[in-house]
Parts: sequence; C-alpha cells; structure tokens
Amino acid sequence: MPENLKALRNRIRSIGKTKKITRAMEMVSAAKLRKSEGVMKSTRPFLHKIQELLGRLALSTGAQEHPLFQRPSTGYPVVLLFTSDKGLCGAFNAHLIKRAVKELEKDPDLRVIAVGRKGNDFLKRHYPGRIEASHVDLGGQLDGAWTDAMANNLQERFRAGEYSRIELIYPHFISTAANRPVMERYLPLEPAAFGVSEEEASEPIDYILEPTPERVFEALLPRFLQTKIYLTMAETFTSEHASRMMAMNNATKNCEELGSSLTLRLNKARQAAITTEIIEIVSGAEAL
Amino acid sequence: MANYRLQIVTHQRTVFDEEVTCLTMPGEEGSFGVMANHAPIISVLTEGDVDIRIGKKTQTIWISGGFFEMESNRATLLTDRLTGIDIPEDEGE
Repeated sequence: MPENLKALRNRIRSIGKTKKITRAMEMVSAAKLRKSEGVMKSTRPFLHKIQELLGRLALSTGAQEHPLFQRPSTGYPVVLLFTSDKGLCGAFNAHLIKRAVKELEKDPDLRVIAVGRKGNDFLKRHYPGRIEASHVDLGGQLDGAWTDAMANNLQERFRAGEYSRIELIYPHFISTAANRPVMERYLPLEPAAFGVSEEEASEPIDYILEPTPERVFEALLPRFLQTKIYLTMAETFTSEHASRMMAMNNATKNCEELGSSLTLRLNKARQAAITTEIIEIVSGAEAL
Repeated sequence: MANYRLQIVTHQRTVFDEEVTCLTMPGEEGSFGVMANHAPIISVLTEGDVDIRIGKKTQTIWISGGFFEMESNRATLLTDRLTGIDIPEDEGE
C-alpha cells in the first residue's frame, strides 16, 4: 500500500486539534491586545503633556542644573531590557534581545536589568555576569505601583551615582502588525528629547512657577519618570499580545493549509486502495 | 465673561476637555483661582477640591494632587486620581 491510511487520518485529526488551540490563543491575545492598547493609548497623551511641560520649563529656567540632567562621573551604564514572560509570539523577543546584544557587545561596562522572563533566560545563558537585576513573572498585568517603585529605584540609584546612564530597550508599538525595538534614553534627561520645537526654543515662555521653581521640578520630574516606565510596560505588553496574535493567526492558517493538503492525500490514497481492490476482485473472477 | 480651554488628563485618559470660565485649585501654598488671560503659570497642586466654573454653573471634583499649567488660554490639569467627573467606562472590557 503506497500510503498508510490510518497514519494519515491520525495526522489530520491532530492538526485539527492544533488548529483549535492556536485559534483559541489568537482570540485570547486579541482580547488582551484590545485592553492593553487602550491603556497605552490613554497613557501616551499624559506623558506627552508632562514632557511638553518639562520641555518648556527646561528652556525657561535654569533647569539644566538639576542633577537628573547631569551625567554623573561615577557608576556604570545600565539598560533595561523589556521582553515578554511567555513565548509563542513569533520573533518578538528575538528582535529585542538582538538589540540588547548589540549594545552589550559595544560597551563592556554595560549591565542589563531584565524585565520579562525571556530576556532574563537568554542573558543568564549567554551573559551571566552582565545581569544587574531580574524582574520576571509580571503576569502580563500592568501594575502602577510596581512601575512607580521601579522608576523611583532607578532614580535613586542614578542620583547616588551608582548608574551613569540608563537606557530602555522596548518594542515600540506601531500597529497590530508591526512593532519596532527601540532604545531610548531614560536618565540623564536630555532637553532635546522633550520634543521642543525650535520656534519655542527661541521664545521661551516666562512661566510663573508656584510655589518655587525647585519644587515644581522636584514634583514634575519623578512623575515623568514614573509615567515613562508605565508607558514602556504598556507598549511592551501591547506589542507582545499583538505579536502573539499574529503568530497564532499564521499558525492557524498553516494548520488549515496542511490539513487540506493531507485530506487530499488521504482521499487519493483511499481511491487508490479501492481501485486496487476492484482490480483484484475482477481479475480473481476472470481467473475462475 | 471670557472662557479658556481646560483639559484634565490622568494617566488613564483625558477626562475633561471643555471651555471653562474659572478654575479654583488647591495649590501648595493655599487655594487659588485662575481666569482667562492669566499669565503663563505652572503650579504644583495638593490633594483637595477643584471648582470648575462654566458660565454660572460650578462643578466640584476632588483630585489627589497634580500639576496645573496654563499658557495663552490653554490650560492643562494633570492628576493621578480624581473623583467627581463621570469617567466613561472602557468599552469591551
């Protein structure tokens, strides 16, 4: 017999089951995506507002004297690598890790704070000495208290001169089908990154700062840094769910294709088996 | 009376975006009010009540602290938490 009918049937059945699973995962990711995309889209304007404020403020006062704008002479640079805790989301984590590896190879002093299991696992295997801290099992839930604590901790260490520079590597969410790993400066702050137009820069607004300029900065900067981490997490989660949705969508399509080509083979094999049987019967009858 | 545009933004969403007449807020050194054509100002706010006056109507909300910025009759109030404004629920949760 040219094809094993039983084996073919088994394969078709198992592919059918896989398809059910991937389709379910796709739907779950789609639901999660909608939710975290909503959070992300609503956090973006808040951050932009603070950023705008800071940008204008940085121009109108002697803000750049503030310690968070200065690069400390001590310490080492760190980068926060945001990845997902779970896999099955295509090349999502691979791209982020690749970006981090590039930086690690460039700067031998650079250390990594891994946020997310996948990035942490990779670093543990390949760059065990370069891990500064690990945060895994975040459960895919955006937790404001956690991100605030993280931001405060980074800020303290930066101010203490422990870190000379802090960067963030995370997937910038563009659309459901696309996200791009980017590296952004976190500290020290760069007024250029606040996106102040040249027009504004040439004519700084003379703000009244209540109660004092120092107090405004002390209140505004930590809030900015906290929101930044919060938004970065939101972008990471949103991109993760989008990538998983796409990956599962492709997997479902593959299952369909494979299933139909196997069904075709099965039918051909069955047909061939029947034909052979008929020939056998006919020639058997003729021989009598 | 002249109005100006006020946006109230939390890190979840923009909860308010309308023309207002006068805004009274809890500053760190006491409550203060801002009307249209105020000079550019950035102020740190503490926990307390904010009175939003639109024409002759006044609406009071509570904020957990935040920032107020105003420049050429565009004002922004940034806060972490607030109560007193009906926040539209997220769709499809």
